[in-house]
Parts: sequence; structure tokens; C-alpha cells
Amino acid sequence: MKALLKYDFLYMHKTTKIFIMIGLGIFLAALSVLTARYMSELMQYAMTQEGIETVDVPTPTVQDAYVQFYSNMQQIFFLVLLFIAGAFFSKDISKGIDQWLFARPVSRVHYMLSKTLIIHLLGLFGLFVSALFFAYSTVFVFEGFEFWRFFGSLFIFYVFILFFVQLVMMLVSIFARMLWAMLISVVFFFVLSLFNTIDSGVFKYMPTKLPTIALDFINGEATVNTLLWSLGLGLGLSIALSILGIHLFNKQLYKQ
Amino acid sequence: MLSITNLKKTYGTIEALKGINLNVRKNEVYGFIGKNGAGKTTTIELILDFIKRDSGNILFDGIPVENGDFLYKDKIGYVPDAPVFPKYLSAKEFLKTSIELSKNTPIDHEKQVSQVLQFVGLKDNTQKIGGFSRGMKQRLSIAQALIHKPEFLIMDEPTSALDPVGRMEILKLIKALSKSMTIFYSTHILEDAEKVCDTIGLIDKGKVLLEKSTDKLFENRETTQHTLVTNHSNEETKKVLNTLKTLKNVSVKNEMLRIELGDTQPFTLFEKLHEANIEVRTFKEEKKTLEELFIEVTDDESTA
Repeated sequence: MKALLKYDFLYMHKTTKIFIMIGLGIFLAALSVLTARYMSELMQYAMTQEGIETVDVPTPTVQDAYVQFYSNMQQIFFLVLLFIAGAFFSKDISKGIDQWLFARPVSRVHYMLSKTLIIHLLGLFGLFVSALFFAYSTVFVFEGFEFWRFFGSLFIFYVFILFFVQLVMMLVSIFARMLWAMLISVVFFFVLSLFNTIDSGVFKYMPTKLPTIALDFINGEATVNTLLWSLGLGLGLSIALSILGIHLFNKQLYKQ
Repeated sequence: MLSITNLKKTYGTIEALKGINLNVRKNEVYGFIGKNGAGKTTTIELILDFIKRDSGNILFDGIPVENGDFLYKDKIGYVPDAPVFPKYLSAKEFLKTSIELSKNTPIDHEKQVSQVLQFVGLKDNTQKIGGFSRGMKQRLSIAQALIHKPEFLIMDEPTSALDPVGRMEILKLIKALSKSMTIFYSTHILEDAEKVCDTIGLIDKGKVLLEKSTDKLFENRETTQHTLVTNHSNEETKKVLNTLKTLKNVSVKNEMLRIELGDTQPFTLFEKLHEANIEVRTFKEEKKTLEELFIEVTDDESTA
């Protein structure tokens, strides 16, 4: 397992995926703060240029920064990580490197666990660095930054990422190719997001609701019930997808 | 070292292996020969548990191998037919990873990597594998198979894509390695197998048709033939020889008559030719090549 972790880490390091995620995280963090801070000025400038009468735009607050941060993380960071995960889970088999790996005393279960662990370490590390940069710069620009609530909300947001990464892993185990796994995951993400407006039954706790719940948590608006159910469902589904993915991976290898 | 009994594998409706039996003894070079598509790679993939067998038993070093087992692979080195390795690693990083993936290697990794790189002539190479030529990849493929000091080396068509010099190097390497390990050498180049193998297993259409030690394969009369040169044309001579009912076979190859005597004594043959005023210039016994034997055995099987 240690050797597999090292092998997977080498891939992330040598193909600069680590630096891409850190760089992207820092860029998005900076962008979030700047967009939140200067959004009203930008809007007023744009309206003046178009000859539209200026309207009063409320003074930006730290809440706007949180919203911008999670919006950027969900729209860009999450999707980039999802594509890296798709490539990472499928690369050995689609390129034929699996023959070299599995001619050695390598457990197939350990192989998948190692990949899962490394992709999440990459995601968590990238998100954490981004959050640190965001927190540091937000403190200088806005007042009342909620440190502990913000870092707690990262965990809620990461469960959302965890669910979709495990979905990609499971789909790669079925199709053995990145393309179909990514296509289905992204379509699934957008379709599931459509149900975000439904606020009853199981729809209240869908994994796509987690970024909103993370924001509610920072603002102290998330109920314990919502938190427990959403996190429980997200984690439970992720574990189920992982087990199914490993099971299907064994079958897929044998199918080729 | 490796014993296979009644191994079967089907892909959809195609029977890739129809219940093959093999027996590879310790410290021998076992030549697994057959045409493309005969079932050689499928057999190797089943030995290494890349694919699931339909039925049959594999016994490696006295221990049964079941689907999903992997620890036994620590004793195996594998040289694939088309090596694909992580492009982003250097040869050294790749071999270090390869050795770390093995279980029982109480050896100095750095020293072993350095020695093996020297052995395959890649010691001073700092390039990434992505920039390697086909020949370099092949050498690296051998290096990764030897890095953990295996007892059993599986080579799947290692010479098929190499030039004559590269081929000779690999054959020399097999000879050298055969002193310290068992080698399962799959090839369709019969000339190569003939040079290095102690035992030949001949596979065709998913069936092992023959398994014999190379010495025994050529020692009996069935595997010898004679070349004949006369002062008449081959066609005229052949016409006369065809009247000898006890002759097994007469054919023309490389502008020379090739004769399998069967129950005919050489004297009878000379007498017959003399009666027809045909003078014998050369009459020489030679062993059949593995290629000729291969064609004969596979032809027999398809006509059976």
C-alpha cells in the first residue's frame, strides 16, 4: 500500500497536478475576495458606460466574500478536480500500464484505495491552501471574518466533492475510460442541481445542496438536523460508491 | 515450477484456450511457440491473473493459484510484448517504484537499481520514459522484470519488434539468465526458440499440440530428413522417387530435393536412381528445423 501511495503521489507531483490545484485554489481565493470587494464599483462603472442611471448597490460585506468563494470553488475548483480524478482513476488501464502494475504482487483493493486516498489528499490540500489564502486576504478587506465557522464549512463542502469524486471512480470502474465517466458525472451533477429548489423530503439533503448548507453553516443558519442528514447522506452514498467501485474494478479487469 | 492442467478460456463464442496442459520445470527455458492468435498471450494473462479463467488449474511453485491471488507474483518477472510504462518517470524512478511494489526484497534498492540499469545499458540515462525509443523501452522492460530478482521470468514475444542485433542481444540475455532462473519464453519466431529453449511447447488454435525437450524433439527419425542433389532436374528425379511407395515424402525446397525416407533404406533409393541413369551428387542427412516441424504438426492437426 505504501509503495502504491508513493507511485500515485509521484504521478500527481511529476505531472504538476499538485501545483495546478494549489495555483488554482489561490487564484480563486484571490478572485473571490476581489470580486466581492469591488463588485459594486464594477457594476456602477458598467452601468455608467451603458448610460444607465446608477442605482445604489449595498456595501459589500464578508458574506459576499463567502458566497463568491463557494461559488468559484463549486464552478471551477470542483470541476477541475473531477476531471483530474477521472484521468487519475482511468490512466493505468486506458494506457496499458496496468500490466506492469498487476504483474507484481499488488492487491486490486489496495490499488483503488491508494488512488482514492491520493485524489482526496490533493483535493483537501488544494482546498485548504485556497481557504487559508482566502481567510488571510479577507481579514484585511472585510470585517467580522468567522474563522472557525468558515473552516468548519470546508468539511461540509468537501463532502460534496467526495460524493462526486467517488461517483467518477465508480463510473471509471464500469467503463474503464475517462470520457463516459466524466460525461455521466457532469450531467448527473447538473441534473441533480436542478432539484436544489425542492426543499422537501430527501431533496433537502441531496449532496448538491451541501455548498449552500456550508454557507448556511457559516451564517449560523443551518439546523443540526439538516447538517446531520445531509452529511450522513453524502458520506453514506460516498462509501457505498467506493465499495461498489472497488467491486466493479475487479470485474472490469477480468473483463478485458 | 509451473504446472497447468486443463486450462480453458472463452471470449464470447471464441474458445481461446481449449483445455491446455503445460509443465515447466525449474531452471529450464521453456519455449512457448505458436502463430499469432494461437493462445500464447491468453495463457500468460491467465498465469498472471490478468483475466479470469473459465476452468482449469494453475500450480505455481507447488501452490495452487486462484483468481484474485497476487502474492505468488513476487517470484515472477514479466516482460510484456508491447511495454507501456509511466511516461513521466525516469528509468531510475521507474525501477525504484517497481522494486518497491514487490514484497520480499530484502536488498539494497539503490544498489540493485543501479546494477540493473548498468546491465541493460541505461545507467546514465536521465530522460523521461516518454522520450525513450522502442529498443530502450524493451531494455527497460527487461530491467523492471529482473529488478526484484525473480525466480520465474515470463517473456511475451520479446524479440518480435527488434532488429537482428537487438534480437541477438535478447537471446544472449536469455542464455545468461537461464543459469539462475526459469524462463517461460513465448514467441512465434521459431528460429529464436530453437536456439535457446530446453523444452518446446507448441500451441495452435488454443490447444497444446506438443510438449517435448528440444533434444528429444530432434533425436528420432521422424525429425530428420535428407537433401538430395542429382545430375538431373528436381522434377525428373522426383518423378522417379515417387515410384518408391515406401518413401514418406519428397518435396522441393530452396531448389533442392528434400526427402523423408520413412521405411525406405538409402541403398534402395540409390538403386532406383541408378536404374533411371540418375547420378547422385549430394545426399546429406539434416535435422528438420523447428519451423518445418511446426508446420508439420499444425498441418496434421488441421487435417485430423
